Amino acid sequence: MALKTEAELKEIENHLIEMGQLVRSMHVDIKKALEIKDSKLALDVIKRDEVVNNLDEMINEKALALLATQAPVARDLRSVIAMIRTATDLERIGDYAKSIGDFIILSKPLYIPFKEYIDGMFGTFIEMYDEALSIFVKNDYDKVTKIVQKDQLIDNKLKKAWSIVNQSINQNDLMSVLDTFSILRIYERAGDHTKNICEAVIFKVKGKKIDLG
Amino acid sequence: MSKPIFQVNNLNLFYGKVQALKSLNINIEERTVTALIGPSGCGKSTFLRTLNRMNDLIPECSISGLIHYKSLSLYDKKTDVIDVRKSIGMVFQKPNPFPMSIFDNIAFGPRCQGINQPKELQSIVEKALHDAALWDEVKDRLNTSALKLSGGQQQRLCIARALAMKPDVLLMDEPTSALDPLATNKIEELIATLKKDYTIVIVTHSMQQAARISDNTVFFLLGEIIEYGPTKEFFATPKDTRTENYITGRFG
Repeated sequence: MALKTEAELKEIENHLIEMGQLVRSMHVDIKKALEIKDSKLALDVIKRDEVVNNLDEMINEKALALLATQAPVARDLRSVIAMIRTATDLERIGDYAKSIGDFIILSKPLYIPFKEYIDGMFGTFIEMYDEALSIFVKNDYDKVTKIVQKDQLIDNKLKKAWSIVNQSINQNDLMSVLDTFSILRIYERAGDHTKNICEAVIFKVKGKKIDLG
Repeated sequence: MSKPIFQVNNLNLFYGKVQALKSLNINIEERTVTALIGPSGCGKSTFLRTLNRMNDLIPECSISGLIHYKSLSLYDKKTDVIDVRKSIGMVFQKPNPFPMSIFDNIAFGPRCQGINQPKELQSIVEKALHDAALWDEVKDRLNTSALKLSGGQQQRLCIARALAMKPDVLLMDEPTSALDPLATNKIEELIATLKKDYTIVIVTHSMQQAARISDNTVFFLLGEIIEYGPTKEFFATPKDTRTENYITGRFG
């Protein structure tokens, strides 16, 4: 029975890894599309979101079947729960790439002073995301603190960008500022969901519920 | 933690030269369900039987250490074993009704205690059958043979028979292993009701059953207690790797 449980857990984890890679590709490509104003690429990214949603559903179904038929306990049980949670976080992170796609397709003007913030926050988010998925698979919970520190960098950038808005706002720029600021908010939220993945790793390995702030 | 009804201190038990229980220390809480789990031969049933001195019946069995039931030292020379078993009843793996009527099965214990008034016996039998959730199914045929009941009903009859002695504690040794899932479910529901008034210690081979019905779980391995704790934590985040390996089926 243990072998069957292990095999099914591995299968769910493989779907989760696939989902993680797909969501990553969405963010990398949507960033590119944003830079070169490529609506076609943006549309392609938006389409990928459906595949991500299907993977999320598949993970939930397989996890449910495993819970119902194998009645896992201890680390097996925690793994299933951690994977269900992480699939939900990945699904949300995927939605954010889709939202940036909508921004591009609707040809909303980018507020140029925010460009460097987008670059910086995107870069930090992708680093954090890659590391979180890597420790999820390796159960390497020791690295959580380092990853979470990166989320702080993202949050600080957002605050700084907001202070710029407060300082000098031209009425003509108002819509563009708000729309572009929503992209910054997206990276901030994506960082929070990545932090949730780190919490899931701690829960999976140590069985502890920790609020990483 | 509610107050302990059993306090076990440095309990050792030998069958001849073979040590079956090794330096056990454990407090069992009052009015809770405590599940004893572990692989075959780990000592869980042996331990259960020490709690009402059933091992006294095995000639080569020797015991050291202390078990206190409330303030009574169970293995003290002055302790009356009949009194102990009146307060601490036992239900076995296979239902073992006596070959007599349903009524007489339940009235057997009270009659042995000298209760002979028909009205009093009637009320004891009725209450015990109610408490064992069997009354509605047998009230019209109390004089038929208990052997005609189904396996699940026979097991509830045995529980009723134990309850008729007005015990504090019920010890159960795999009480559902011979029953189908529906009958098992009834016994499990019964256990959940009974724990309001009784302390229940149950040996089970079904980990799911332990997880479903118990408040605390004890894991035995090779005569030792490896882990003891609240069931919810025990099955979600066991502390000992051996417990984790056993309950996830990766043992050995």
